[in-house]
Amino acid sequence: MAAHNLGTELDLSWISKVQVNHPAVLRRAQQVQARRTVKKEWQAAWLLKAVTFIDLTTLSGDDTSSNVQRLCYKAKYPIREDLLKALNMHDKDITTAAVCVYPARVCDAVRALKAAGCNIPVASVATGFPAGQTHLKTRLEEIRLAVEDGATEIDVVINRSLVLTGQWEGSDFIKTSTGKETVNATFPVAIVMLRAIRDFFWKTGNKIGFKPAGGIRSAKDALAWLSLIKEELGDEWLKPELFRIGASTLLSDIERQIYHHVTGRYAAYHDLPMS
Amino acid sequence: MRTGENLASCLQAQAEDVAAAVEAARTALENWSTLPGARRAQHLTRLAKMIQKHQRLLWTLESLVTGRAVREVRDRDVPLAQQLLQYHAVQAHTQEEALAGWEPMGVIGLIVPPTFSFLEMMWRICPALAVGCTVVVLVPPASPAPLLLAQLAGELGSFPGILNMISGPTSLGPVLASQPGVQKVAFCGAVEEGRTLRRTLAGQGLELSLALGAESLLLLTEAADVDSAVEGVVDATWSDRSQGGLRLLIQESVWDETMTRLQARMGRLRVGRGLDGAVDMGARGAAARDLAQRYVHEAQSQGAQVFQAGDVPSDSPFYPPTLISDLPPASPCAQTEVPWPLVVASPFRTAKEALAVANGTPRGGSASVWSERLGQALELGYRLRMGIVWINAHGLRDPAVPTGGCKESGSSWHGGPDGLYEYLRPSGTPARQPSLSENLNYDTFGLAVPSTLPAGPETGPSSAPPYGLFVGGRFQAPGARSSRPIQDSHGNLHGYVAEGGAKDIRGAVEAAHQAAPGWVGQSPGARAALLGALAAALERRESALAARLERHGVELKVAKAEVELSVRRLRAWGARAQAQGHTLQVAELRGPVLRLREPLGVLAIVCPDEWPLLAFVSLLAPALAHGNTVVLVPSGTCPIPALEVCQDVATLLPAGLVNVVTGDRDHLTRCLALHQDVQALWYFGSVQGSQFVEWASAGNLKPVWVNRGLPRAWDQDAEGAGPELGLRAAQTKALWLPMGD
Repeated sequence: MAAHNLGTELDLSWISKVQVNHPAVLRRAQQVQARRTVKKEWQAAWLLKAVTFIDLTTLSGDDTSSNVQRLCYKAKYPIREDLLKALNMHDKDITTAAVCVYPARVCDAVRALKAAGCNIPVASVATGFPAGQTHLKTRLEEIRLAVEDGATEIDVVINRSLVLTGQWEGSDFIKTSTGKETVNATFPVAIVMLRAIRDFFWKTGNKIGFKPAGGIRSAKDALAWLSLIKEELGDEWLKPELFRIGASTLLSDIERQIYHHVTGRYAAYHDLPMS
Repeated sequence: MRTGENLASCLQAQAEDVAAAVEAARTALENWSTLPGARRAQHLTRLAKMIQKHQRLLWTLESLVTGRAVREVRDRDVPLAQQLLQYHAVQAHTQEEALAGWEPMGVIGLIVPPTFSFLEMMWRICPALAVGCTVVVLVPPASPAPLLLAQLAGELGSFPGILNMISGPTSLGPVLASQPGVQKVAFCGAVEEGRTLRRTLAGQGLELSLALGAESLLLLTEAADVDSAVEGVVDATWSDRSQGGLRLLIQESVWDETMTRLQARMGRLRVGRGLDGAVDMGARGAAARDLAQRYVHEAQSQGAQVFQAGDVPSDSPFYPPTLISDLPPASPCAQTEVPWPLVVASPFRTAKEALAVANGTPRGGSASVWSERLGQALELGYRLRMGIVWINAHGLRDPAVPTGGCKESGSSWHGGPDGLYEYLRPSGTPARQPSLSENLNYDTFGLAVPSTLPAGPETGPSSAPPYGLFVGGRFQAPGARSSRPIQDSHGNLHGYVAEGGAKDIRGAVEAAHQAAPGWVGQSPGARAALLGALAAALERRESALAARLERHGVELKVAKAEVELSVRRLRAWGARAQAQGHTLQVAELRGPVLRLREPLGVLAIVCPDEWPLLAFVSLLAPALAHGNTVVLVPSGTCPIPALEVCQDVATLLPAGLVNVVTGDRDHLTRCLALHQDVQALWYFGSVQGSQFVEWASAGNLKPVWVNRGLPRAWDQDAEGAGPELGLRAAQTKALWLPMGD
């Protein structure tokens, strides 16, 4: 993770001066998806890079230690070994950025990663995920317990009632949403958030990370997201310390694209290991 | 090819080829123009489908040869070409009802510029073909995409000869214009070339419409979304969407912020070969690069700061995106048009200053206003003297929205209803007669005023006519302190009228300018009321006016009818001017686009000799009703009824609204035509005068309307009070208002 955000004095006048023109942002969003397309071996390279940003996530009601273990193993070996060998990338230690689970499953995740010999962080959602409508006391206790169990990153759900009444909190990363809403990570929203991150950096020197989550399923989308970060913030933000993609099925689509690049054929469902 | 590599060689046309092309167009015209609109619509739709089938070839060719980013050609130009055909097919379909009193002009000659030849050509051939004209296009050498289009059109088979294309140097332009049968030439290109063409074609009896210059303007206020405005700058200049550079006006309070963001954004731009799908901008050839280079050097020598950035290949014709700031407004560089791919940034303090700076150049093409405050955005949008204004966007285009300019950007339009009227004329207009006076000396025409001697005592029953020039709301003596006699139909002296000269014209134009803001500010209803009051006053004065006309040989009954018709027309134009402007249906935009009809400014009118009262009023009324202020030269043989009308104008209308200058018509015409601050000129006089007016209008490129010596039936409503007068009395502005929160 990047150095912690030391924060600044809350200056609401800064926020009130911000203007956002929605139609113009929509146009920019459309443009950014179409303007920087990558193909062939460059596409394969970008896809592998995208893998290193994924917070491989499982947040279902029926999570148990077995599917968490499977997930952690997939996080350690995201792409099939022979495909990586064909790209000469098998020794580059390509893993996802983190594994993201419910607090109750943090123990299982830590154990599975240890068994696999992998040191990627375990991120836990906390604070009454996804609605955030629980008492402050229990929310803080949740965070404490998750950290005790071995989670090194916490996805906090902000108290929306505080937001709507203008009482703000600070953080090291900002995330588009919980990923459980009807509309999650869209480009227009992301553009506005990224511009805010950049403005904050120019004003204070602090680099805040960005994580889009929810609805990112195809490799093409992932490439568009990488392109957006590169365009708006630059190469310094294209590191797992400052950029994460919260996704679960994305990884299999990326693997299929890489399979196609290496073999020239389209894979069947059973050709690639499930996560 | 724009990077300098040799791709292929192509034929260049000669004069004989031009003649053959025009002949083919003339042959096809008879058939094509009499076809029912629905059949023409069908043909255009088939052409659109042809483009769809071969679009990949078209966009690849266009991008390869012009050097523009293929993404722009593929995603905007080619689909836009198809949309243009579809839109105009719909217009052709409804032409019989919607455009009933209008007929197609005939054979149209088009001259298109090198870089955007395909798209500029499509904007113009679609309306021309849709309304029933046939077209001959002169494209610059080595433009394969237009030639491919012509081939595709030819392969459709049914109507050979409606679209003819020749590739050759611009020197063939006048050759094209001089072919018999060509009714109009539409030119798109650089300002100076347009001026030269205007001068060359004076007196040849054709209509000329000019679309000049390529510079655009972006006005960034402190209430704007700066990041989005910066994207607007990229859209405007560095996306291969526009032909020219950009003048960027930034409010001082957001200057630093804007410059930082702009420079950071420039660093992310990619320049490269057009066919690379991931570039923002391509190259446009050595000439364009040299032009940009020269401008930058000059600007630097005049003290400007130059910032260049972006990922640019180091070899020859590529030029990086450039931002110039701190260029003093008085420096020569700041007066000339900004070339591609340069952006010249200047600060302003208040909105008022922004308008003064923005309107302070001869260019009047397109502009965008960036502000999240609706009231401010609209105020700026309305008061910018431009043909197109976008609010919080830049560079949006649609076939249904008229696109054009004012001032020295030429007054031609493409797209929307205005685009159609470019290729139509009122039904029954006689075809063009070549009438070039080879021996007209532009330097001496109207220069000297023949002196006149007193012609005896004023006789006759009527009282002495009002004396003086009517300028600034009152009668005043002429600068030359002399008069000329006016004789009646029996050769007796009717009275003396003032001998106006250049100084008086200057005074009249100044008075008209002073009265303009007040008149423009009045609502159409208020204007209609004042015109109605003038009509009532004329009614009361009927017997005096009829008596004046009678002395000039008009029968009393006819004279009375003339007065009555004049009165009716004053009232009618007042009412008509109220039904102005409407919103357009635009395909891909959420939000309205307004088509505003704005006054031209100061309109100079040289009235015909015949119908001394009726023509005077028939020209005055539409001009005033649309918000213009006027300087009129009344009939030469009988200016006295006009002066009588002025007596009522003096008491009823604000001072300076109507100015009447009597004197030698040729001399006064010369003064008005050469005046740089007259926005338009209508001339109804001799053949030589018409030629001079066309030639002199090249000075400030004012739109002119001349009669080429032909009489006009002012008493017939079709010619004396038709929609053509209303169209010419105002200019259009397209105001785009994208919505969304």
